Amino acid sequence: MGLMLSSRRILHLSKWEVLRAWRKTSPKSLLVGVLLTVLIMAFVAVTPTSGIQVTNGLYVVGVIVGDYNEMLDSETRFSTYSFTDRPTALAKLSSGQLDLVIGRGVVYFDSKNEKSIAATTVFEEVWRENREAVLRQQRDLNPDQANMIFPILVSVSYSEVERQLVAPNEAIVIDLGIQPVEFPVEQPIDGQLDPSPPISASLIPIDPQVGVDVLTTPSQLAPPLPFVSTIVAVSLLAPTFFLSQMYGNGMMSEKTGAKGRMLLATPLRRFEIVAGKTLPYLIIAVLGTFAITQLQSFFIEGSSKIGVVQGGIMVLLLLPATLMFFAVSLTSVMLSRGFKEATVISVFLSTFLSLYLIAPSALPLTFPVSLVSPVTGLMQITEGGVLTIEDFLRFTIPFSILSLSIFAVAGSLISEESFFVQKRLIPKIVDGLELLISRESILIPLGFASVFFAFSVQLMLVTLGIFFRGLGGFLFIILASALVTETLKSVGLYALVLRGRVRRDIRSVIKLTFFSAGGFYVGEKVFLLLLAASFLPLLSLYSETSRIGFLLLPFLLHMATSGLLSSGLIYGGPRFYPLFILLSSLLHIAFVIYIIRLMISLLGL
Amino acid sequence: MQHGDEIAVRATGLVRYFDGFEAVRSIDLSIRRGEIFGIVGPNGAGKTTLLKMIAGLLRPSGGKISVLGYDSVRDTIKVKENIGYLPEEDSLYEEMSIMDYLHLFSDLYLTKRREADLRIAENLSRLSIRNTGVVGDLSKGMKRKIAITRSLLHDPTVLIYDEPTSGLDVLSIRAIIKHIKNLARQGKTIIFSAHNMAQVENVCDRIAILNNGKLIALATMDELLSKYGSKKYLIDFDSAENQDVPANLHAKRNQEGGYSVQYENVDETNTLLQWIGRTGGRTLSITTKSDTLEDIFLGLVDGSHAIE
Repeated sequence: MGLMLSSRRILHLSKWEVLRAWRKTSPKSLLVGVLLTVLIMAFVAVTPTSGIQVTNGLYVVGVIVGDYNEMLDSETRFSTYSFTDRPTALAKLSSGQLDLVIGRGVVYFDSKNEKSIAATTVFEEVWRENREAVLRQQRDLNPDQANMIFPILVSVSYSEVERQLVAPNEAIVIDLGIQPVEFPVEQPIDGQLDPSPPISASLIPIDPQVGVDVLTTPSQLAPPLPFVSTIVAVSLLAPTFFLSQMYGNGMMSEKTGAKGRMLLATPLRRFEIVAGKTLPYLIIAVLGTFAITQLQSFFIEGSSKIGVVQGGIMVLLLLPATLMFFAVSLTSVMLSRGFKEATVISVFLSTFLSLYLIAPSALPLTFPVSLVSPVTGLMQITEGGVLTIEDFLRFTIPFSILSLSIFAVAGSLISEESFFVQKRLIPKIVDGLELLISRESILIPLGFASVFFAFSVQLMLVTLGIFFRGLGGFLFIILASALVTETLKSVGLYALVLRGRVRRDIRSVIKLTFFSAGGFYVGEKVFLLLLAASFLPLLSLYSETSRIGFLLLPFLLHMATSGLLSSGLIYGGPRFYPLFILLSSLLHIAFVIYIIRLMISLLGL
Repeated sequence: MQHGDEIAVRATGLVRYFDGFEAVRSIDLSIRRGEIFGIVGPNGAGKTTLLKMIAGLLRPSGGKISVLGYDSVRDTIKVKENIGYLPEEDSLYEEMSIMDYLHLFSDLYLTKRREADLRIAENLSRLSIRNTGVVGDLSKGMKRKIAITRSLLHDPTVLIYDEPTSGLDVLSIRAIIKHIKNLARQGKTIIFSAHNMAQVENVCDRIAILNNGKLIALATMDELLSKYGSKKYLIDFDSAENQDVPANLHAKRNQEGGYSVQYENVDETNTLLQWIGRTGGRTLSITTKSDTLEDIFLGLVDGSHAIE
């Protein structure tokens, strides 16, 4: 009964939100909006197949042998022509009709011609990339370890190859110094050029079907880097970008002039207000995303199989990300004092979120870092991979819980105390938490949910750690990770103490320690199970080591750090919070180092 | 109403802090069902905070508050279902038409459309508003009337009106006050705050005076008058020829050549009248003037009246 009443209120609010938004939009703005959307959709739909093409066919390349056609095709800047004989090609190079001539193992360019020099540089880049791609296609020595979380960095270094100058003042020959397996070396020719026949007589397009207008995409590189998938992902998120901003504006208009006060005076619960205001935009975003999946199936080569079901799966995969953008918009509104401030915060957070979603997912799927983003699942589909139910759950559940938790915290600020009052950030967050924590035992679910925040932040820290190598990088990761974990674990406790809702006795210390540590510990273990599929090697190690107390040790750690924090906060007061966060983080770090040493000794490394 | 209680709103030990500042200090009060209850006090006295706590918008920092027997924290939804709230400032959805705006809120209260339409028609007619046009195009008075109509869509038992006539012209004030009196006749409990003391004095059955978050007086107007008010007697008289007025009568010469005096005590008045009669003087006029709520309020707020 209660659920039905709740649903009715939510639907009523959603209906009126759509009508209000519609009435607020002038026909002119609507027209501009529609045109802009169509343009962006057309752009993102067409770009993967054709590229922007400003540099297409920039360099005219003559090819004497056909060994490198596939490699040259992958580079849109080259317009390639086959020559049956070398002298003719070199004559064209000499006369400036060609920028580059490629023979077996040798490349001819004109050292006096800047364009020819630039074309040579591009060729070297393409060749190098091609070479690396071939290497990457090799199988791992130990395929069972492909999903291990410890990446191994392989550096490939290139020796400078001396350019042999042949036939000064005419064509110059480069010996690329390549081993004959993939790129047989041909001795440099003497560089004597025969008189050339008219160019029209000997130019033969490599692909007569498309000719000079040959369409190539980055995806045609071998092996394919997920450029198309990235663009697909970005284009699928396009409706979310727009609608989350519109949603933010809608919420902001409730805040300005305290218009939303009347909603708070009605019998609507906070979650009903948030749901009612969010649903219309969310539904339109989801439908828009689905429409783009279907639209793109017409444009993207090889993805014509994106049917209704597959499109639906893609939308569901992106739903946690969509929810997160909306949660970010809501958070921006809650933290800001006006439209301008909300826009600045929202753009900042959305840019960070986009990076968070796209960057890790563009990594090859061997890195569990890519698990940080549900977009990885989408990439997996668009790259032709198979997505199992376990994969789907792994990509969506943590991010969904994280998004909904942010919604809950931001939504809790929709109250008379916080929504219309200008306050600094921390008191505002404390207000929200205070409203969420109606009983001390709510620290348990709060601790549980904070695991998902901690996981996401920690994975991003690991990603950042790639840029901070050595001991410094290691220390950065574990210190920042410990600080994040301890702060998230104790933030509810801090809110309770700050608002004087905790008695100053040992019983409170024990109770609150148990609640916050227990919730976090249970969340941590549930989370580990959710990720079990991708961490099987680690999990087996975990089950091995659990016999010697690995299950108990983290619990003791959480009890110790929470105990330190709750006793420090209850007896010392909220102003000692940063100090006790630091102390508990140091304790956390000591534990991590101890575990690492223990694991090393167990593994016999 | 729950438990057959005749009390519509009951607050005990009500406290509200804002970042350490005590906006409402240990207030105890009961508001009877069907009465018009006025709350007055200077700016920052805690009137709006008290009203918001009754309306379930603000959670008390301490103490308890119940509306029709429902606890304002535990049963907030029930409290809100039974309350019609009118905030101090009208922040309406300006882009909506009047009817859409009112339908939006009747939908949120899950009022049947037919019932809502009847109530809308009745209230708009009583308040003389046409139901055409967009909210944003209305005058301030009209917007206030729309907001009052909105507060009545779900037929609430308790109405909380925060300064309902603030900033309005005389005609709008008169229309709204008439409407409030009419609602009280229908059995609704009305709690309203105002800066206009004459309005509160004329409309309210009981009045609460707040200062610095404290309830400093709560009574009917008559009780307030008898407890804190006073009557003044203004007497103009002529003395008999060559007869000086004794100094202990405190009379002063006026511009007409006679004498004027003001007493707050009927015995002093009688003494003077007896002296005039004895000495052959002539009483020109006796005017009595009672204290108003404003006088009592000022006396209580500036401390010249002792608070009991």
